[in-house]
Amino acid sequence: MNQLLSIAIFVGFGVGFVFFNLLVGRLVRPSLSNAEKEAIYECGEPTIGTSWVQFDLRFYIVALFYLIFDVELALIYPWAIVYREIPGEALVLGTPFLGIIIIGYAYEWYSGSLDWVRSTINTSYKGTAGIDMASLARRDPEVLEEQAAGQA
Amino acid sequence: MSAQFITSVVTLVVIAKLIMVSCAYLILLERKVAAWTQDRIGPNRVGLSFGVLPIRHHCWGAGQPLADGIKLFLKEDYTPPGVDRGLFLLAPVIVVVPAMLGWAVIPWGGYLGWGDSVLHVTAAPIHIGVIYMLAIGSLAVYGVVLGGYASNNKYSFLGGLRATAQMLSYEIPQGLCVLTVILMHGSARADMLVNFQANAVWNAVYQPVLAVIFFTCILAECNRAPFDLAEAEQELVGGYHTEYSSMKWALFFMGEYMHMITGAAFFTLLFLGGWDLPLLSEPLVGGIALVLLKTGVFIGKVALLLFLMIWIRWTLPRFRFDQLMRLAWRGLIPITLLVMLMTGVMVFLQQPAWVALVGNGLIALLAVWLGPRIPQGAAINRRVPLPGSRFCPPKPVNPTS
Repeated sequence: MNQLLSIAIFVGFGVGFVFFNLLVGRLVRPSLSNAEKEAIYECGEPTIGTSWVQFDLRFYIVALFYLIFDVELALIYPWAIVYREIPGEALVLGTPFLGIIIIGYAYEWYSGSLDWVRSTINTSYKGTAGIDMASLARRDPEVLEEQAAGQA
Repeated sequence: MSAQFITSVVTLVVIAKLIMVSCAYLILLERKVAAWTQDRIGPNRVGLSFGVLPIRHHCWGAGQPLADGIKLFLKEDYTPPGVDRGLFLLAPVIVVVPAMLGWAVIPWGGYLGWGDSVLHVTAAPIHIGVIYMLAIGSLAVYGVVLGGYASNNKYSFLGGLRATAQMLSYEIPQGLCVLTVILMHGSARADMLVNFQANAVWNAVYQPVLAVIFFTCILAECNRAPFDLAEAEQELVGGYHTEYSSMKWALFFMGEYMHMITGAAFFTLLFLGGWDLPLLSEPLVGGIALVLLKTGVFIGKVALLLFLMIWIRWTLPRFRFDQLMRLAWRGLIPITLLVMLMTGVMVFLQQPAWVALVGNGLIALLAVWLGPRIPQGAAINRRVPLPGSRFCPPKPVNPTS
């Protein structure tokens, strides 16, 4: 109980420190705002629309992988603490668990989800009418140029 | 009101004040080290006289942090239109407070013998101290992402996103490192981990690969160079704190340095033996003088690590974002998983701890040998000659037709 109280005191200390600083700043500083000064700074250009737009889906995938890994890790900590006392049972119970993480990780690697720069080879994007990006990306550009020259 | 509780509160107040002051001087140190690295002199004009006191000497710029603080208090604070005001105010608070909370469980000075009771010189001697530190450390990502999201600025938003992906990715190897250390010693108590190292050899000697990886993860978690992509000035103006000014900006800045101190203390606790020095480890419980000495040793190790972090920042160039993600997901995570499995097998077979050193060496050799040999084929992009693009010239007109 006392331990949690100490942590609670620490939280209060931290929050108090932060808000004290903000309050003192508010009391002493000037406030002479105008529209130019308050404009959003994007390299001096006038802003276009809000910034709350759809972002790249790769960030979402990273967050998803993190979630899977971290939940499994959080479940493994108690296992690691008792491992020294009951190594036999811990090994039997922990191996499938760790195996799932490692197999999942190997699949992520194999499926190319860990690449930040995605290959066009795996894309399903069709581009403009009648163009298959994936099959074009598989071929050598020099061969394609030769083909184009041959058709001409 | 037990004696332990009083000790805890005294430790809390002393350490918190000490670190807040050292946080200001860390900024001066950073500027000085930057200057030395770049063959400059650095800040040396603001002495301690401030035009009032009769001190003629420049004091090597020791008044600079105070002057900076006063300047930041007096700066005008403005909030751009269209921001999410609640989150805008909340973000710097969430950055600073978790960075401070980490200090609560660090065993700064070992044990204090008082009468016939043994007191922990820790603000909160909880049983899962190491896991608590990891959990609190990962709260800091909310501050950065909220700051980027609430600002209604596209650069801030991108910086916040980048910071999220980076911190999430580097938290996994960090967690695995902590897990391996717990696996080795069978305890998650911060003071017990230091005791184990004081009785034997520091963990950095037994697990050097793990120590290097953990240090890398700390750099990434603090958004320090070479991992400072979230606030890359050349790409994102200022990143997630572009729209912040005055004291709110200063809180972000302070949060970064506090996070550095927390990270360095965490590293010292896990890998550098905490308060332990080879000649100092024998009396585990001692009087106030010994506790102060041990605290001094702990803080000295933290200071060395902080100097190393600053040195790295001014020496190495910044990563590219895909290199950053590749280092985490394809470099650090598999190596840490291998070290963890190796440690698990070692503990199961009840081998002595130096086996871990051999295992670490073998894993490092394997990583160096295997790294360049992993096929990267799927990640290579070829140029696709889309019709009408500049890579696909129009077909030559046949002159005979």
